[in-house]
Parts: sequence; structure tokens; C-alpha cells
Amino acid sequence: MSMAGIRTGKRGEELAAACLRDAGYRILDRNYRCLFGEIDIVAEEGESLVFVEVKSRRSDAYGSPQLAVGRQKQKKISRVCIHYLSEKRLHSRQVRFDVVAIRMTPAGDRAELIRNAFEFSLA
Amino acid sequence: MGKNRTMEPLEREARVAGYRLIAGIDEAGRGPLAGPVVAAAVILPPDYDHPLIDDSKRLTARQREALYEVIQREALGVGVGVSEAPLIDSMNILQATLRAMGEAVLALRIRPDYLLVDGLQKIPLSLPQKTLVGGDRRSLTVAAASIVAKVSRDRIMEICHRQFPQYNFLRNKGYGTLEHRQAIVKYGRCKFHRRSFRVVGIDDLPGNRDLGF
Repeated sequence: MSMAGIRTGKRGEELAAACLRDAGYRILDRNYRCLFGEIDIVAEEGESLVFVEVKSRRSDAYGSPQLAVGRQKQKKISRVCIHYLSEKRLHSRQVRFDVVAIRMTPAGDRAELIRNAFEFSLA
Repeated sequence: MGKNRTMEPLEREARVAGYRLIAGIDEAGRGPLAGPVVAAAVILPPDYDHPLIDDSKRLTARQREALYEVIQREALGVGVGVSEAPLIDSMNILQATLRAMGEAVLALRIRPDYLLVDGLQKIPLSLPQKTLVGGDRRSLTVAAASIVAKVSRDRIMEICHRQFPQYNFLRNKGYGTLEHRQAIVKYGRCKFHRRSFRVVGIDDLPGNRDLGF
């Protein structure tokens, strides 16, 4: 990934975190990593434990951010979710998978929050 | 099972041989029609003992839940591995179980030097290991792993239940109870069902069609 790409990603995650906080989420973890993959943001909303995938794009590249998370990615995130629950001993929580799509344009940045963007996909 | 004294000889034997971080490995969910097979790896502190840790099948759900918390708190390491239904279908349940066990070992944050593995087959990892038939009744560490595997799997089935409540995975954990099988007749199978598993009363009917969704 190019340096510009890395910068876009980092900035996107900052914007996504702000978007979630504005929506009343409590952020628990950022860039959780384990041997099986990583999750951009883990947060709480009410009773639910939410695993958030952040997708950022600059507007002049390749159109708007893909809002859909591919099947393989869904499985991967589901697997990391299980390891997160085990490691943090949070097994009894309800889980949900959200996506925040960030669009960065010269005119400004936009964040779109999609709750329950996909369902647990590993069982 | 009575006293834990009978569950320590295997760990002691490994320590005498010079091993320090002994992981017990067990699985849950080989038999059900739906859901993953889940494995757990647990490393307990040396000379650890707990009067209630026993093979998970001999404990009530409440006891298992309570001991799960104890083990998570007191173990040196806990790891889980999950092999989902499509994987079970593509590689058979034995291979899927071994794969999940491997994942559980790799998920440990500290690396074991010896494995006590429930069952007949060694895990395809290059670590010294011993297989134990009925390991969850013979080894404290394996019993602890059986508890973690069972509780972890129960939680996953709860998540599945919320997506597909019609099968009542919350109650049957994916096992082929009458209620579950009746739901399969009525609704077909869902993405969590193991399509390679024969369902009594359904797959033996002529002209059966999988409605699947």
C-alpha cells in the first residue's frame, strides 16, 4: 500500500471513530489484532458488542467506497470476533457487525454508518 | 469423578520429563447437525488444582459457566479454535476437529512445550504431544479445555440462534433433537447446517429435497 493509501486509512479510522462516538457508541478497542486477522474498531452500543469495519476512500479514486463486505472478509471478521470474545472473556454479549464508510473529498469528508452490515458468518 | 489426585499424573509425568507449559486440548460439537466444532487449549499453572474441574459432560451448564470464568482467570493461557459447518462438509469432521485444535493451540498467547490431546489423533503441529482417549476424565488440563470448548461453542450457537431462531439452537445447540429435526423438515437447512451430516427421518426419505437457505 502506498504512503498516501496508509494516510487515507489512518485518517479514515479517525473519522470513523469520531462518527461512532457521535452516534453514542463507546469505543473499546482499535486495531485489535490476533493471529487470524484484525478488526478496525470494537465498540459498545447499548447491550451489543459491535465489530466495526472501516472502509475509506478518496473521492477521486475508483468511485464511492464499496459498502459491501465480501464473503471471505465476513468470515475472517467473524473468526477474529470469536477470538476477541474468548480473549476478553465477553462471551455472553450480543454481537453485531457494522461498517463505517468514509468518503474524503476536497469539499469535505463524509461518514456513513451501516448498522448490522452483515451477520456472523462462521458456524 | 472424585478427587483430582487422579487427574494429575499425566501433567506430573510431563513435568518430570522437563516440560513446563503443558496445554490440554479438547473439543466440543462433533456430533451436532449444525454449528461449528470448537476446540480449546488451556495451560494451567504448575500444580494447579480445582476440586470442581471435571469432564464437561459431567457438569451442569451452570457449573460449566462458572468454571469457564475460573479457568479464564487462573489459566496461564486459553485459546479457542473453530471449524465451521462448510469446512466440516469439505474436509470431514475428524479433519475439521484436528484443524480447530491446531487453531486453538496457535491462538494461545504463550507457546506450550507439550500437548495433552483428547482422542486418538495427534494434532498436525510440530510439538511434543500425547493423545488420551477419554482425556477429559484423566487430565485436569484436558478437562479444563473441555469446559472452555463447550461454553465457547454454546455461545456461538446463541449467536446462530439469533439469526435463525426457528431451529432453537439456544436449546439444542445444533444437536438433532426431535424439535430440531422437525424444524428442518418445515424450514429446510440454513447456512449453519452441516450438509454432509445425515439427518435421521429426513435424509432417508426417498425423493428428499434440500430446501436450504
